Amino acid sequence: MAVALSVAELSWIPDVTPAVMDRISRDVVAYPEHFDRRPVAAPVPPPPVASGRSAGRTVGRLAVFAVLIVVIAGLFFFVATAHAAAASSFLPNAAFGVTLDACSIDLVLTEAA
Amino acid sequence: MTGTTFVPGEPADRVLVEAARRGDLYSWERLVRRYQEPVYRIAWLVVRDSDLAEKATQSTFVRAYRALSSLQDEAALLPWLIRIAAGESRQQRRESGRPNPSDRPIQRSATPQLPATPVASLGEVSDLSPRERQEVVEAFDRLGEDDRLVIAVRYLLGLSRADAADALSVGTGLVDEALRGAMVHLRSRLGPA
Repeated sequence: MAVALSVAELSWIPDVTPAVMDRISRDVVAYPEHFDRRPVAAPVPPPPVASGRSAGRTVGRLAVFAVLIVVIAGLFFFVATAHAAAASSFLPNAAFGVTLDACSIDLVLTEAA
Repeated sequence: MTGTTFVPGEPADRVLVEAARRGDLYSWERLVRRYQEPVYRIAWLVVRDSDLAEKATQSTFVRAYRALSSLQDEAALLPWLIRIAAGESRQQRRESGRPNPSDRPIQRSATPQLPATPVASLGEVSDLSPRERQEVVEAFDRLGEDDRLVIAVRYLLGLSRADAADALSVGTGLVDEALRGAMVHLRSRLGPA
């Protein structure tokens, strides 16, 4: 009640807006380091969209990789078979079952060693 | 006038604060226009001098703009501004070398530029005689700064208890206690009814 009476005598107040904005505008130019600003998050770049050309390039790379795998596996199989043949010539009683199965190749190598 | 301001058709405080943080001066200008009156009233209650209150109000908004990133809750802008305004007003008073306004006559020579919002609760005391009104005003003016501020933020600005605590930099539980104490002081200055 009392405060209502007291401040009610302030029937007019000064418009400080022009002075405030003038001071801020001048300060922003003169002292930019004083104006602490929360960094605005940089926009997240959109994920790259795979074009038809890049998709074909990816398939080509996979095909080359598959061919290399087959070639390496073939060489490995050839070497293992050759060792098995050599071992059997020196150890005629040994039985070696060489199949296309990778586990069998391991077995052949173990027996050969 | 209340602590939370909602103006139909106007952007909320939060929207304008976020824009101002990105450097949008126009948004800050709208907030200055929105809150210059309560800030000026608080400043005037502290310094009791229209020129000093005007300077303190200007400094409040300039300082607040610089420190916008430290505002935790954008919706609680007014309590934050009041806290800054109280500090700026005390500083203006100290720099002016003037004594505490409770100890000297009040200076009222504001340059009128904007009509102030009528105080809604004024109707409650309309039955008082001019002499009684003057006694209440003088009793209020003789209160200490803290007493005037706590009465102002709760009864004049209508801030909630939490917002008032934020504005006065005290714990929520202390607001009611401070308010009770301020009213006791006011009654004692009014003398026997």
